[in-house]
Amino acid sequence: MHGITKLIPGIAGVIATAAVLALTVNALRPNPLPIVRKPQNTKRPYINSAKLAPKSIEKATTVPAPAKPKSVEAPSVTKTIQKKTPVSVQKAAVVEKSTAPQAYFTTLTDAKELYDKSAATFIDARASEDYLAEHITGAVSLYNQDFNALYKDIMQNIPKDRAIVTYCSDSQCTEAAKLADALVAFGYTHVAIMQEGLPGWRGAGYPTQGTEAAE
Amino acid sequence: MKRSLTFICRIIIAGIFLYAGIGKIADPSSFADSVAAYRILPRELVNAFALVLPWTEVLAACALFLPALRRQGALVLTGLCTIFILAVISAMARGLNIDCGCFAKASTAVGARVLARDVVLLAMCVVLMLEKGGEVRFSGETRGHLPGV
Repeated sequence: MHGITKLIPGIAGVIATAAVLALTVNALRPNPLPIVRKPQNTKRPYINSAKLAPKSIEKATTVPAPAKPKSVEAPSVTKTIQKKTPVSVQKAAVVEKSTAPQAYFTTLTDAKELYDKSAATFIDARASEDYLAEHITGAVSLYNQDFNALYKDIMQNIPKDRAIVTYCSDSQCTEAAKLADALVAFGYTHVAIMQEGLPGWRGAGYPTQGTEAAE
Repeated sequence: MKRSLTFICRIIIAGIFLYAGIGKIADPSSFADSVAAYRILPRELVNAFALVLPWTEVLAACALFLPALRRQGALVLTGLCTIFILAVISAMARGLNIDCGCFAKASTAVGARVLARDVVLLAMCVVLMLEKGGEVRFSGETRGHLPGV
C-alpha cells in the first residue's frame, strides 16, 4: 500500500502533463475541438421521403403524401401543398419565410424508401477507412473532416435539388449533421440526416458493402 | 526468462498504446464521436476526455522506458485497460452496436474480440506493474539498471 502511495505523484504528473499537452495542442489546431461538447440539434425537424424527394415520389406514386399543417415544410413541398390545402399553405408559407434552408432528420424507413426508388444520394460522413470497411451499398464517401478538399470531386455531378441522405456511426455521432449543414450551406436544398447511422441500417438487414460487410 | 517476458510486454504495450494514442490525437473529432457512442460519460465531459485520454496513453507508454516512471506508466495503462474493459462490457450488455474507437479510424465493432484483446493488454500491463519497481538490485545496493535492456 505504501508503495502505491509513493507512485501517486508520478501518476498525477503523467495525467496532468497529458491534460496540458492535450489542451495546448488542441488550441493550436486550425479547427480545435470544443472542450465542452455541444448538444445535438434535437430540434431539427423531421422530413419524410415524399417531402425530401418530391419529384421522384410523385413519379413513383399515384397518391401523394398527406400534408401536415403544423410541420416545417421543405421549400418545394410547400408549392405542392398550396394546390390542395390552402389553409395549411398560409401557415407553411409563414414558416418558410422565417426559416432559412436547413438540413432535416429523416427516419430509417423513409431513407430506405428513397433508397429503393433510387431517389436520393446517400453520403457516408465517416472516415474513408470506415467507409471502405463497410458502407451502405451505393453510398459515396465524403468524410466531413476533409470536406473542403473532397467537396468538388464528390458533389460536382449531384444537382443541388437532389435528395441527399447523410449518415455516420450512430445517433450520437456528429459528422453526418455537420456534413448535412455544410451541404446546405453550399446550396443543397433537400438534405437529411439518417440518425440511426450505419448500425441502424445494417441492423434492419438493409444492404451494405465493404471489406468487413456481412455477406 | 522473467526479464525477457517483461521486456517483450513493455515493447508490445508501448507500441500498441503509442499507435493508438497518436491516431486519436490526429483525429480528435472522430474519437470524441466514438466516446460519445458509448453513452457513458455526460455530454459535457466527452470532448475533454477524448482530448486527454490519447495523450495519457502516449505519455504512459513513453514512461515505460523511463526507470523513474516505469511503474507509474504501467499503473496508468493498467487503469486505462480496466476502463476500456468496463466500457466494452457495458456497451455489450446494453446491446450497443458501435465502433470501439480503439485505434482512431480503423473500424472494429465492440464485441468479444475487442474484449479479449483488452483483457490480454490488461494482463500484460499487470505484468509490467508488478515488475519490481522498475529497478534491479544486483547486490542489494545498486539500482538503476533496466531489466532486459
